Amino acid sequence: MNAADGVVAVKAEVAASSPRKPWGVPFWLAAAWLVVLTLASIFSPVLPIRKTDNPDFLLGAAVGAGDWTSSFTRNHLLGVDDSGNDLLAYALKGARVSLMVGFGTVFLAFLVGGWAGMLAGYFRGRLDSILVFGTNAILSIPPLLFLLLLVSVLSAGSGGVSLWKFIATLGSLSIPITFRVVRAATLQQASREYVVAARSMGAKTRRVLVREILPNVIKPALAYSLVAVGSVMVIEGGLSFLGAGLSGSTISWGKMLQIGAGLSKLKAAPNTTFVPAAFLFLTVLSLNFIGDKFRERLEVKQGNI
Amino acid sequence: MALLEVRDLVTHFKTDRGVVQAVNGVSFTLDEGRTLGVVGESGSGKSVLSRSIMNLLPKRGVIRQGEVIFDGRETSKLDAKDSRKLYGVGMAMIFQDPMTSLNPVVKIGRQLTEGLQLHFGVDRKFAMETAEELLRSVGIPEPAKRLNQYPFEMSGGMRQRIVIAIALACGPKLLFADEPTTALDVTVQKTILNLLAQQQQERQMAMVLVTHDLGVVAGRTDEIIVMYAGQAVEMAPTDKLFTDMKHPYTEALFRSIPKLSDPSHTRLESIPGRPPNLINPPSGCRFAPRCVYADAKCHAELPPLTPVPGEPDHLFRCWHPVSINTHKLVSAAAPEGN
Repeated sequence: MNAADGVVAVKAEVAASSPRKPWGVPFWLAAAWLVVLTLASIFSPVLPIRKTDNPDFLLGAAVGAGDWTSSFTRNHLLGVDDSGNDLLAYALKGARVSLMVGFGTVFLAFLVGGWAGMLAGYFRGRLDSILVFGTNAILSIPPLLFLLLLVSVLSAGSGGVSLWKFIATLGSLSIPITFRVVRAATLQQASREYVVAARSMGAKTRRVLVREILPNVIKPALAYSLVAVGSVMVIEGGLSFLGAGLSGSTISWGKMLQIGAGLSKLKAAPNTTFVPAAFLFLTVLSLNFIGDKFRERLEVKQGNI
Repeated sequence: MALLEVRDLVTHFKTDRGVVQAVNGVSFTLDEGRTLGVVGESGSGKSVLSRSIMNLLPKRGVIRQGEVIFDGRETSKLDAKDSRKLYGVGMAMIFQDPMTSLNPVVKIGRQLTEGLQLHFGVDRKFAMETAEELLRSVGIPEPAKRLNQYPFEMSGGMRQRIVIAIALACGPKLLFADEPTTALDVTVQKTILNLLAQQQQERQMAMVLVTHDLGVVAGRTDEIIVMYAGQAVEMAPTDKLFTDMKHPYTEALFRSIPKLSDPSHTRLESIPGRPPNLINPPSGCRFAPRCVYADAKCHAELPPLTPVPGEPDHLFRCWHPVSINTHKLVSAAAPEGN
């Protein structure tokens, strides 16, 4: 029996043992990309690639002179930019920051917005009205303008914001959206009879919220959060590109895009721009795809209720 | 001593369009181990009544008055600890739709053991063993396996058995069954009702059986309350109600039960009109607009709940009570095949 037969046999077995349809190859490719990227970015200091603080000036000069194809060597798999920085090493280091910004922001948003949404959706009343009004007010401000304002205030005098301030800024702007998502899901669940059933068995409010409603709300929220991580990463790229991103020395994909910006550079050394763009593209695509698959799976389950 | 005594229970909902008078001054008593049937059509306030007794309605926008005395104590005056014991251990409830009354993402085992652990502080292992025993007692095959499954893996009848097992878990003295069979197939309905009767007998538990189907309560209850538009219109021991009904609404309900003895294609009798708007109920008898016997007095004055002379346990709310004779008369007068 060859390997392909083995895979088919395993698949048939999985399909037979579970009533669900399999996740599919694209899903596993997306998941593999995220896992490989995360591990590579964590272990980039010990991987056999050029260090980010050790530019290859000779190759950099060659790229600066217009000969960008010669920078693809065994030591520089994705080439170098015109300062001689290895693009693979930069992209992996940038992945750390981009992933941290993406996941950190969404985590923060759900920590605050999620709880607020659950409380508002369950208790309704005045608290709900105030929170809904507040989030609507924040959502009605053009987000880019708001972000630029916040970042410029926070970075006043220091030429850029620190990673944590950046996450806090993006996070606080994402709170209204997560609030709405979780509140809507909670509203839907709170009217279900199992909530009354739990209370009829003596469950107090906290128990109802944590043990009955939270498990029902957390899954749609998780599916949404993966898509949200992707969009936050794109926003980070956009802000850094505009020069309103992280402080000078921090490397992120957005910062790399900014380095490669400009029409003459794009012509002279396209890989400087395309490498971070490709990383960002693949990562956001993977996140969206996985989030979508989760949502699909969930809808099937909802139909079964 | 009565296990449950309800005195003048009033439950109104404040809505944008006005105050909905869902339950309007209902009183009754229920002794230990007895079964009370609450019958009425949709919107008669029968479901609100049982939820209001258990105080499961939201606080906001609900006006609730009257007294609910359970086991000799007024339930609204209990301290936090005692009122917690009231739920699950004192009273429990079975809901109409087993599709929504089980939490879809929590395993059966945890839903069953939650109450046990909360009220008796037993450890998880003991609770799980009890849960398995409970599932077996409500007739679920392979109970150990079921504990690890989710509600969506089971059929409606099976889920309703699980809902019953959850309600019985802490050994309540009083069980509210709020239309327990409405969402189920007719073939499953009977087995579920039999299961309830059997459990009730084994546990010496009192039960309030809420239904829109007089046929369901006929052989399974000791007493019956017929509700219409938030009021009790007739209350009597079951056998008296069926042999000597006084209220035209009870009669109409009774006549709308399809009978096997009727020739096929007999038109099913229905009650003309709709239940009244509970925001602005009719000023006189609430059933008057739909009643075949109603006259000017019925439309003007609300009849009080009065006992049948010589029968203090049979109460009705009507100016022109039907008797067996009029009942026969009306039946005979009804045109054939109408």
